[in-house]
Amino acid sequence: MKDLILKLILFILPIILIGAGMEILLRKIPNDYLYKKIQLEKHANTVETLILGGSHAYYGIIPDYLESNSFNLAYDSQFLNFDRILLKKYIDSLPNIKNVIIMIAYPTLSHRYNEGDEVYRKFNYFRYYDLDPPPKNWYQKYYFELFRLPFKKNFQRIISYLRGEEMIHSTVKGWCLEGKKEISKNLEQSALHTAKLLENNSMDFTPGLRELNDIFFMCEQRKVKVYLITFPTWEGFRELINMKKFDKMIETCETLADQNKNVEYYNFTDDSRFTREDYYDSDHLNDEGARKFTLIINELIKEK
Amino acid sequence: MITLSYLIFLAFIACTFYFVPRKFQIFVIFLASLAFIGNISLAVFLFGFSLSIFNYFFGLLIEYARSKSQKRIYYYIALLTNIGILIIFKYANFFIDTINLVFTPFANHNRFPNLSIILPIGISYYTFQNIGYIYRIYKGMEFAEKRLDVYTVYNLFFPKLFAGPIERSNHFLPQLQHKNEFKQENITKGLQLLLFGYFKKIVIGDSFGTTVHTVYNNLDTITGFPILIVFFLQALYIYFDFSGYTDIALGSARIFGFKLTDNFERPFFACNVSTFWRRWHISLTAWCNDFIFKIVLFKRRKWKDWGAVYAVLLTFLVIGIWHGAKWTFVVLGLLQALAISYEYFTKRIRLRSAAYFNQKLVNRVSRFLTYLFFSFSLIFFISPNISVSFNFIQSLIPTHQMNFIGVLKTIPNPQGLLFGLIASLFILWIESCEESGNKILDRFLAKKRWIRWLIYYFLIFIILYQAQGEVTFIYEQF
Repeated sequence: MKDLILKLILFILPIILIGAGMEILLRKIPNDYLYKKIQLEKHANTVETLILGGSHAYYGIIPDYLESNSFNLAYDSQFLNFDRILLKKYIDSLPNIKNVIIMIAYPTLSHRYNEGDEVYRKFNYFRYYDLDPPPKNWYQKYYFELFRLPFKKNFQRIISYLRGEEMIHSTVKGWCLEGKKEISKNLEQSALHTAKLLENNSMDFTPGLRELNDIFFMCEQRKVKVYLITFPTWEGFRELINMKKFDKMIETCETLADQNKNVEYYNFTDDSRFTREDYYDSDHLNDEGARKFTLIINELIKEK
Repeated sequence: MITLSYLIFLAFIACTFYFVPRKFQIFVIFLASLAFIGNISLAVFLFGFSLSIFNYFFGLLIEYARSKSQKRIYYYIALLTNIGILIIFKYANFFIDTINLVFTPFANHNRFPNLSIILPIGISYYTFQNIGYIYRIYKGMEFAEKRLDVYTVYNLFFPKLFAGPIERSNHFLPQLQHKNEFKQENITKGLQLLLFGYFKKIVIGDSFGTTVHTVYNNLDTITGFPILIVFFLQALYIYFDFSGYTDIALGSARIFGFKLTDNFERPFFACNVSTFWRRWHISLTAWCNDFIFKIVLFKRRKWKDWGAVYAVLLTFLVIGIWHGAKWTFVVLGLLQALAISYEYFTKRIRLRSAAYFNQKLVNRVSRFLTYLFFSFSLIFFISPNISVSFNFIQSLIPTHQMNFIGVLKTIPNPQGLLFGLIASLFILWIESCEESGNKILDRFLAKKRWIRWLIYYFLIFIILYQAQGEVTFIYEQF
């Protein structure tokens, strides 16, 4: 038996060593979570408008085009629970904050927090923002970078890093400049894919509403205005989603705006000012669309 | 079974198994199996364990019954309970839907509501094991198991819980009754099987599965060449997914020194459908052969040839319906029965005609035709309903859209698919060598350690690189 144990250890040792090496390298790779945290904390005293939400907000609002000093703290697939815990962490260290923009998309209110393919992103909030979300698997409790993403993606990230490629995709003010410059040529296919991906077949908005009410309360106490924004989406995408659920979502947001003095709701989902040329894919604006949209948001904030 | 948690669990149980005194070894497996099933769901745990206790007691009652009639009563209670539970959990809604469909033309018919039942994991596998066990005791072919922990392990042994193999009691129970000595060969064979199983499942099965399911889910938009590719791919997909699982189950069991039944014996080298089914899902077909085909054939022996046809039809209907309560599975079973009956009646003519041709050529053509037939029947296996099956068959007819570039655009993860194709061809090449008596795997195992280890490391790298986070097996749903 001793012989076998020795052989097993010898066999596993290189795997463990390579794993440890990868973990060290992965921790060294600069990333947007840490970068944006540093930038936000550096500019905390000047931030007047804080942008939260998922990819629509991350790609769709360019802080440089807003007249008030703004910071985009949105990330891919960031749902309301992380909007809330990030806001809670930072709201008191932003002395000049006046506005909070929150993205409301089709899946936002019905999203269940411990499900879905994007659940692995929770790790980032733990590691880079010192927040403590529950882990997906028991071994992730120890928060290894190696287990956060599939091996293939980690391997590719390491290769990119070693090749000296740019690993940060955000501007100093937090907007994503990850090459969304071109106009999407296949909105139809993207709509088909995204509509399927975003559907969780739930009309239960309770989890989302709980988070929103906490956010409203936090902001009301500090006299901060909340803007709930539904971003423009391409018409082909809208045809594929459950309109009953979507209408219910809009109705709910309008009711919330009526009930809370410090809350405004704006729905741009079918805004005719946005054409095919403004989209990167069926539910994300490209750089030009983002510029156009930010200017509209700027006017709204100015009016209020 | 394809998570890091499972491997750590397996390693922990294996260490405990070999370090405790031998008389406690089965108890360790018993606890591990209950913990494994309990971790999935408390309800499934209670259900599986209760069913094991029930069959354990009825096994003893049948053996110790005072009279033949008492024995028969106990036997029928146990048999009908097992079948009844399976019907309630697996087929109740199928019957309700069929009744509703029949009564639809009647205007005043109120629809019978469906039952909200969740199918317990592995129920089809361990129910068949229980039925086989009870039958063998009733017929006096073996003695009832005296230890509840041993019987529970026979029924719910964690590596085979999800998708079998369906073990025969006379094969697996004796292994559990012996004390297992530590043998290095068991551990190394077990680990090799695990590695090959993960490779088949992750590198080939999952990459083929993504393509197959994408096409089936988008039959409205995808036409032409991708349908043809999926038609040829689907048999390989099911094979590598299921044989990957089986290798993982066999490897896990082998680490403890248990030899489970292998479900596959190079099925794509079968020259006809009858032989194919002796090489495909062996544990299920062997069970059906023992407990359905042989019994029906004996009872209908006066019908001569038609008795055999009847037995084949009934056996394959059960095999079809065993997969689930859907008309597609009924068609799947019927198709196999038709093909085997055809082969039975035309055997002489076919052999006579084949004699005019080169034997190798005949074998190759026969293998290809068998593969084609099986692929065709799998349309009914993968489609969620009959209309999707017919939609797929209709789409198989060549159209002007048969262009290759279009295919690449519609296939998700084409790189993974290419990897899978190369890997599957490699494995089929190994199988072809083994089929012709060239023991290529034995030759590989005789190579120097550093060569073997380098290949193992390479396989591990490919497995990790191709892992998409898919953790389910296609046969798990049955």
